[in-house]
Amino acid sequence: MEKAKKNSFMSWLDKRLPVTENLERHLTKHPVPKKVNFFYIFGALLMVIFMVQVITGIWLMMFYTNTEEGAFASIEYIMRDVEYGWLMRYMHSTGASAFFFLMYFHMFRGLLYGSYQKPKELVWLFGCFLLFLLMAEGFLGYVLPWGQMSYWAANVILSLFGAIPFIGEDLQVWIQGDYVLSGATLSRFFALHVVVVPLLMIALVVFHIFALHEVGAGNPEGVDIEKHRDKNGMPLDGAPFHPYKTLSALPAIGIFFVIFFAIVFFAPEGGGYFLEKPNFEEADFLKTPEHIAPVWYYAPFYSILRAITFGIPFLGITSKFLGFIIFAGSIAILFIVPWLDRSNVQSIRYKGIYSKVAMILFAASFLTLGYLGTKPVNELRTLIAQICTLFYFLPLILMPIYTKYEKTLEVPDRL
Amino acid sequence: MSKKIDHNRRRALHITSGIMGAVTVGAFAVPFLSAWNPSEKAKALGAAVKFDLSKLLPGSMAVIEWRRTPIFVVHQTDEAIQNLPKLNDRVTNPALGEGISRTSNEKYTILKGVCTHLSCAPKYHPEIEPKAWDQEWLGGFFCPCHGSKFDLAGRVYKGVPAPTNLEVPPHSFDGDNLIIGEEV
Amino acid sequence: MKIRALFIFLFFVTFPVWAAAETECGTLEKCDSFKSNVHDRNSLQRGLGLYKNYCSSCHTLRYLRWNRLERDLDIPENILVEDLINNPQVKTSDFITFGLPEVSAIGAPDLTLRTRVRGEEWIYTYLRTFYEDSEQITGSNNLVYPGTAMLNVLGGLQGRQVLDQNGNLEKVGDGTMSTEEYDAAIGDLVTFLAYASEPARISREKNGIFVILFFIAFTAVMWLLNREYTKDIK
Repeated sequence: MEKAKKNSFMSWLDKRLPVTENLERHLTKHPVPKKVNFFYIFGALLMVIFMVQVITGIWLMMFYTNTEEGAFASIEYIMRDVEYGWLMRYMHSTGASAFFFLMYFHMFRGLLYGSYQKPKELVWLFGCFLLFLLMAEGFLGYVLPWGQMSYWAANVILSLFGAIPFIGEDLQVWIQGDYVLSGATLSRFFALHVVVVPLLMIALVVFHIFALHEVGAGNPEGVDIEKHRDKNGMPLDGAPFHPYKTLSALPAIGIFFVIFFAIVFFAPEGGGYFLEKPNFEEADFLKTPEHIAPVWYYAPFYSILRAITFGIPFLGITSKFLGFIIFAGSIAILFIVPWLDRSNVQSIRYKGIYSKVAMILFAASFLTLGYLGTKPVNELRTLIAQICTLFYFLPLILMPIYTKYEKTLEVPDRL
Repeated sequence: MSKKIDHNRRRALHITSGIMGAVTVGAFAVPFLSAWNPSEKAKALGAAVKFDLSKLLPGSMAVIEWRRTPIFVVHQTDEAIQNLPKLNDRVTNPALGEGISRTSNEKYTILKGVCTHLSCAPKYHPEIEPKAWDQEWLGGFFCPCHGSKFDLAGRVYKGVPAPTNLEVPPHSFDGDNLIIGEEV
Repeated sequence: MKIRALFIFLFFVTFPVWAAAETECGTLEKCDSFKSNVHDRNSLQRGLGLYKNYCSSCHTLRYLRWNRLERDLDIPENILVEDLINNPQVKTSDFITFGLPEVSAIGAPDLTLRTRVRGEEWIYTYLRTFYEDSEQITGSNNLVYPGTAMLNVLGGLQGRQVLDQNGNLEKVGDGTMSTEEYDAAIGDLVTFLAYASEPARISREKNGIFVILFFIAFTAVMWLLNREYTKDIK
């Protein structure tokens, strides 16, 4: 009797909203490769951390004051006067660093296993857009506490816009809403951080997942699982996403939360990298900090920006503007990777020696640039940053050549 | 692919993980729901207020703010205390169980200065003389908004818009001090 | 497989480098090491006493409320009101300003968050490296913050220090405390300041272990559930 009732409710619902159809298409009848490795968990973890940020963010909004006069004090109000406010603050700040950590690993999986290759170019594009939006979101959010680093790092980034020839100065004033960075900037950054960017991110996540589901997930071997199916149409090397992948995500989420809360409860400042020391002092436009640096997750790109110490004088391009161009380029180039990779093979496991060396150089450069970005400059560091910038771009710029001509291994038929 | 499924084990695992999931959701909910409780700032602003009664002369009234509400503190004269029982049948609710002054200390009456009709602030008229609203006025409060009348103990007269007596806020006495907001 | 191992190796090798915090300490190469224990109530109380006697004439604790001290340091209300606040105009729920103006006339910063800005070790070393310097208006200088405008208010406790020819500190006069006593007292003071910077630290350090244990249990239960289903697709 019970089952009949449930079925008639579901059929009532299904006539009005495609519930069962979509549950099957995206969950219970959606095939994914049986055998993947731990690199494939980061997408699910990213969705979890996104929810954590949204929920803790909403709660922080209930107590935060988005004016220049009240912002810094409202953070201390949250930390001291609001019940469990400190927990919400730490979850949000740790969540931001976790978000980037997971994002970088998620993208690295994409590079390793050719997740961007045809027909998944759109998945990759939407993903790159999400990286860009995440970087914007992180920047906007970091200004909100209105600490010394919030203020001065925002000044640095805004002055990059000011470096654009002809329109730069006016553009900077327009973004700021004032002749200088002030409360006007803070309140608009608040609106962008709380509503605009998150809504865009949600939309892009939906597109990202729909595009993925349309063509199916990859695997570390780069094998096409759709080629061999059983008599029910389910790929032999595949299994329905629910319950097999949804359930396998749960222990991973548990482990993630163990690490996440270990940080939240025992090292929320992250050694000065998740919550930076200067930011515990209220913004003071008369006092510049000794050492203005962005948060760790922007460090690789900041390093590239600083490494460009030369301009192109006869084109009227200052070193600051050229730095801006190349810095923007280091993110933009990621968008076109699907068209740079001309390999007939998807996964690094079966690519040639050139791809493997290139990948190591790229990763090592990225990590080194990240390290350098957290330190003050000196001559040696600038030189290393310049070399690393070169080895960040070369593996990508030369990709069309070496992926086309290198000798690849034979990809197996089955997982 | 034809391994036997142990349904009992599965059901046990479903139940365990279901409980674990519910507990996790509950655990997450606790800090978020608690955050809605009054903060230290709210508690500070809403804290009990102390008032030194020794300076308040008989027949006069002090108005003290507590939780954004005006609190009327009336030092009753002996005449007023004698007059109050005379009004027992002119008021809707004589509140005989609350004592003459409606507090534990007979001399002082503590009231929320909020008319029980539509929340205007009643005016203090302790004079015993005929008034426009009452030829036999023995002192009390008159609300200018819609004409509600209360006696000096805040009891509402019959036949006025206000339905109930002026509310008595939680309070206690500590020596010469009145503490509004805390009932010992 | 080898590539993956290499990446993981690279990551872990670079991570400790990332995690190392700055240890520069003014003119000193490294600050003296110090770790506060905010769970030691006696230490916090001694630190509070030192603060009241030596710091409160110039430095506010603007983000900390008096009544928080009742809760966290176990200070009875009457001592709080009579000895510490000592001002009938000030309620126990007020912030600790000692009646000083919001912007200090002499540039003495608010100290509520100071250990989070400078670091505990910086402050610990700073308060112990004052020395006599006739070239300064204040008559003293500091190895961690050269040219500091702060007077050597703790000099009476520590004793007199000067710089010898090599630029090292040399004690030339006794204070009311021995070196060990003074270092311990400064430890108490810095512990109190660390508490003021983050009162929630007491709670989070105490309860964190339960949260972690909970999620370990969560992982274990979910892992069993997952393993049961993964058997299907082996």
